[in-house]
This record gives sequence, structure tokens and C-alpha cells, in this order.
Amino acid sequence: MIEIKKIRIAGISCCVPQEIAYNKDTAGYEQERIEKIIAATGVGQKRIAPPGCCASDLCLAAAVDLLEKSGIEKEDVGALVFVSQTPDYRLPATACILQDKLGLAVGTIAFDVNLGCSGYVYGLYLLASMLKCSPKKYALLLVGDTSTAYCSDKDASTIFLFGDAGSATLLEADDSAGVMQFSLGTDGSGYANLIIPAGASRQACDDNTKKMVKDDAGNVRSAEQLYMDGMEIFNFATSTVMSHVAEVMAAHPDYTSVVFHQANRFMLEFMRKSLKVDKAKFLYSLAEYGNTSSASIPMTLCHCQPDAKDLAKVILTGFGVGYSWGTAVVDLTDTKLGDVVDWIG
Amino acid sequence: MEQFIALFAEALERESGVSPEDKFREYEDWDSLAVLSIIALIKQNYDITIPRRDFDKLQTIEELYNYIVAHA
Repeated sequence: MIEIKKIRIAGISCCVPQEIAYNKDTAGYEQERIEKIIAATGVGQKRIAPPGCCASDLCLAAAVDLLEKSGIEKEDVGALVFVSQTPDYRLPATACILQDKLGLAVGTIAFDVNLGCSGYVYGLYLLASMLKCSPKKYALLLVGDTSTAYCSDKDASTIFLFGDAGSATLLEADDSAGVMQFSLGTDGSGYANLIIPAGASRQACDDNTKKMVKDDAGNVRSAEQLYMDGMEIFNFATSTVMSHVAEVMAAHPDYTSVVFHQANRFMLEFMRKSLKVDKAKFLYSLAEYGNTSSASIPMTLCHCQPDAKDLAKVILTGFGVGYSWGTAVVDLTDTKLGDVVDWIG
Repeated sequence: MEQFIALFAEALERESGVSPEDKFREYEDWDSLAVLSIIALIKQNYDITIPRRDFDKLQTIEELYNYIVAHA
């Protein structure tokens, strides 16, 4: 595994839209089917961002909360990375806007990273690496998505699953910090199995991409909306990702907690049982917040608020869209985990 | 085959059971959750991952079983 020493995660804050959507109330589906879907996905409710609320707004609120609580000087933040697949604009990078809104120094390094479910782990790796060669003490990782804006309400494979959330994580250069370990991977051959096909350069939006089309499973969506092949994602997760995590766990049998990207309960329970992870060590936020894409790992930590003893060696694993995956093994004993706060526009 | 049929029926909660010649896609309750249940069953019991391009060609339970035997 890749080792990065003397960097620690000082704090994590998360923010979600106030509006709660209850899956049981989803219009256009029979109650029996809804109950089956809730049982399988494990998602009872999720948060939906109102019109005009972007992932960056949720991350901004989380970052303001985090910076206030940490009490650090803003000029000591050397870098800001925004990880999301729902940026404010095609250009400029949302991180530039966030640097200004947060009042960080004009000398701040700021850029976006286009990753989803694996994005939090990649962000940690990236900023920890950057801090190693920076004269600054802190770096800010903002990770979040407002995926619900891209879900068709006639597509049962996504509409019940996704929720919106943003997070902020403060990394600190600290000589007394231990070792962060990372293992990361990519297999782009699966790119078409989780995708919004239209809207960027490969397929521009036009009248055709707005047409609602029914697929073989009876789900209806346009090419401008999120498509997910649940079967292929399951195959990927239970082969590539499970092998990857099994290797990490073999190297770290003394792990204290496990936080997986909150994909869906059916898949996560299959993986947990196959990997023989104790139920008490395997954390969830699915029931309350759904699959919050890139933000699901920090969301789960802030939602569960584990005891300090359970944070000594935490396995964080993100996987999905790309395909892309990554695991971080980190000590979060001294990390300030804020409660999940509601976004007030 | 008998064991697979029993597992298949159990995964789909079909109390009336299933037969090898059944075209499982024609079951009234066949949906994406049913697909996941069967894919999970096959992964768990036979450690086989079936890509969609192969799975979509299989029509009957017997064909599915033969695929598993061929790839075990």
C-alpha cells in the first residue's frame, strides 16, 4: 500500500438539504414494489436539494462549519480540492468559486476532481500527498454530489437510491501523526455501466437526448439522466472490489471499523458477509440518507459518530463509477467528527 | 441441478417451485431485484460472475445451470 506519514485528518463536517423525501411516498409505484425496493436497498429516506442548491453549496456550508470549529487561520490553508460529478458549471472549476466564497488566500491551490463513489478516498490521497510538499499546514477537501437532479422519477434503479449531501474534511500536516495508507485502482472498461451519457463533449444535449426512453427493465429515462446497470455494478463490487478489500484486510486484521461507500444494503451486506466483517464494525448511513455518492463515506462517519476506540484503525473504501475504487486505512482517533447539519439556503 | 433449482426457487420466494425448462424472464415478478438475487445466489454458491452480455442470452433455468457448470 502507499504510505503517507505525518498527515492527519483533523476534522470532518457534513451538510444535507433540509427536505426529506420518504421512499414510501414515491409516486407512480405500487406500494408492494416500493416495500421490496426499500428492503433491498436499505434506503428509507434521503435528502433532496431544492432547485438552485448545488453540491458546492452543501460543501460550502460544511466547510464554514468545519473552519469555525477548528479555529484555524484561513491563510494556513494551502489547497482546496472539490471532488464531485455535479459541479456548478462546465467551466470554471467549482473549487475556484469555493476559494473565493470561503475567503481563502488568493495563493490557494484550488481545482476540481471528477470522481464519484471512490472520490473521497482519492481526495484524501491527493491532498495528503500535496501537503507533504507544501509549506502550508492545512488542506481542505470538499466532496459532495447532488445526484438526485439527474435521476428519472420513472427509473426505479436510481430514484429510490440516491440522496444529496456535501462534506468538508480538513487535513493537517502534523509531525506526531501516524501513517495513512492507500490502495487505489481503475478499470475504465466498465465506464458505460454507470453514466450520464449526454451533456458533455462526447454527446451534446439536443432534442434526442431529452427524449424519455423505456429500457428492457421498464425503466424510463433520457440520455441526460443517470443510468446504472445494477447487475454489472454488483459483479464489479463482488469481484474486483471484494478482492481488493480482502487484500487490505489481510494486511490489517486489527482494523476497528469499516466504512464502505453506501451503495445499497443488498450489495453491502453481501460484501460484508463474504469478507466476514463483524456487523458491529460495519457502518451505515443508507437508511437515513441513501446513497450520497462521493459524500457517503464522510456522511457515514459523521452520522454514526463512532466511539474513539473504534476509530483507531478505520478502513474507508469507495468504489463505483469509472470503474474506480480506493481504500484508505486511517487513524481517526483525534479527528473531530461534526454532526450532519441541515442546509439553510 | 436439483440443488440449483431449490436455491433459485428460494431466492425468488416461489413457493410453487421452479422447473428447469421455465423461462425465468417470463415470471410475473421477474424484475431487476430478482436479477440481483439470482446473480448473488450464483456468486455465493458457485463463485461465478456472469457478465450481462452472457446473462441476457440465457432464457431457461436449465441454460443458466449449464452456464454455471461450464464456467465452474
